[in-house]
Amino acid sequence: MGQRIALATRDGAPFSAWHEPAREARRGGVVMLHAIWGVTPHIRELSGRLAEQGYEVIAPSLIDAADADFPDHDTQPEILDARMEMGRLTGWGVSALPRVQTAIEALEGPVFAMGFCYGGTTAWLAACRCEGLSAVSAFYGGDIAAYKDETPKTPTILHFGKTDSMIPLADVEAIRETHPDLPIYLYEAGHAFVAPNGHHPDSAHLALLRTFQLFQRSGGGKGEA
Amino acid sequence: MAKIITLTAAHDGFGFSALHAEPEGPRPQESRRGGVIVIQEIFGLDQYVHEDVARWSARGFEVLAPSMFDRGEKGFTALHDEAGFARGKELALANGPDNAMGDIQACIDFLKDRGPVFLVGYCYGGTMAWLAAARCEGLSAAASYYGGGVAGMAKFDLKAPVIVHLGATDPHIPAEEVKAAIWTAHPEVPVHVYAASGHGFNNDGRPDSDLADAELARQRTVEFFAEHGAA
Repeated sequence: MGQRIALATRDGAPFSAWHEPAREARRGGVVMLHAIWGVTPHIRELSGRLAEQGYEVIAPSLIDAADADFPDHDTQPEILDARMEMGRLTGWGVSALPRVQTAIEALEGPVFAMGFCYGGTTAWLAACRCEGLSAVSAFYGGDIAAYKDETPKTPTILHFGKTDSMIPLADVEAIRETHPDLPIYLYEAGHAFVAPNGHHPDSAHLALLRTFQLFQRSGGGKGEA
Repeated sequence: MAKIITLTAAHDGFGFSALHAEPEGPRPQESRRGGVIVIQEIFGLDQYVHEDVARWSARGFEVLAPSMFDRGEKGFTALHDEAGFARGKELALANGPDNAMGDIQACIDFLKDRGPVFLVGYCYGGTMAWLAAARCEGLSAAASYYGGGVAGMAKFDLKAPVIVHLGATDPHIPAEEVKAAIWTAHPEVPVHVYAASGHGFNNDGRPDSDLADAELARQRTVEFFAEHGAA
């Protein structure tokens, strides 16, 4: 079973994370990057599902203080403004990259990253700036377009919903123009189509399938042990 | 005269530099009114911060102005132009709010044994002032000047009283919208909009700065601090 753990960045700044040991023959490690709402029940549950497939998962808290509780709810609309402001103040994950790097280093290779919404942008930034990742899958990262001139160091795929009211398709096209060879998948869905609040089952299933295929092609084949 | 000292943030042990000035005047130790922490704009500890530190010191306060982006670039200062803004923004984002709050808490802790501690922040620092009033321990009051993030954080519970100053012609921060957002959540917070001023109007000599507005805002801030414990 998963549990909350305490970690610290190279600079010594403490933060918390959710940790799931692999519950199948080990495929590798996954850094799971949460949406604007933090390490929600959904993120912890999804981490558990990956653990059942053989991934050891660390889901670092990207925005909140080391002693803050993990949320009890998947969304809290009444604090959306405040969460979005925290998103802006942290550059949608720029200031969390030391935490992401720490999570990568806490896992045995190969290490993959995946992230949603806020964490989707963080996943893109991690692909471009962090060391030690074997592949990255970014789901509906709203500010990837703002960082489109950076280049991933590792195989990366992006997922967007065609009717996402927060991410204009023009942004997706701008990313595609800058990176014509980058796999960008569009789904018949809106924002947050993997999460409970925007869940679109077919799209979520397909996007996760593509993510697992990428990870398996990038070193996450099942070990013999 | 301000000296440069080093303080240590408790949360990560990082040592950052800060301008430090004693209260000035004929008998400073007897007339010390409190401590003031000055939080810079996105451009670092530039001439305007130095001027502000001197101004607060001349008004009888012990002053600290932490160099907020030392983790990314020690002693960063930039011109008020596009390149300076871009670099400052990059450093601010990389530093993030947790480090900023840790540094401000270290400043509060440095000053708190000698009397009430106040905080004033401009632009980036105006946003940090609001956040510090919500998160930090030991502030007696804070003044937030034209902070772009204040409206988004308007609903935060505040541990210390805040006064807000906005420029009516600020192209980045819609003053009336920000005021409405603050008053919806905190009707008790004084929010002043200055008709002749734009962004950064506390910086004397800048194009958006009206001297009379700047002086009125300073006067209101000092009075607000006096209402909340300044000698």
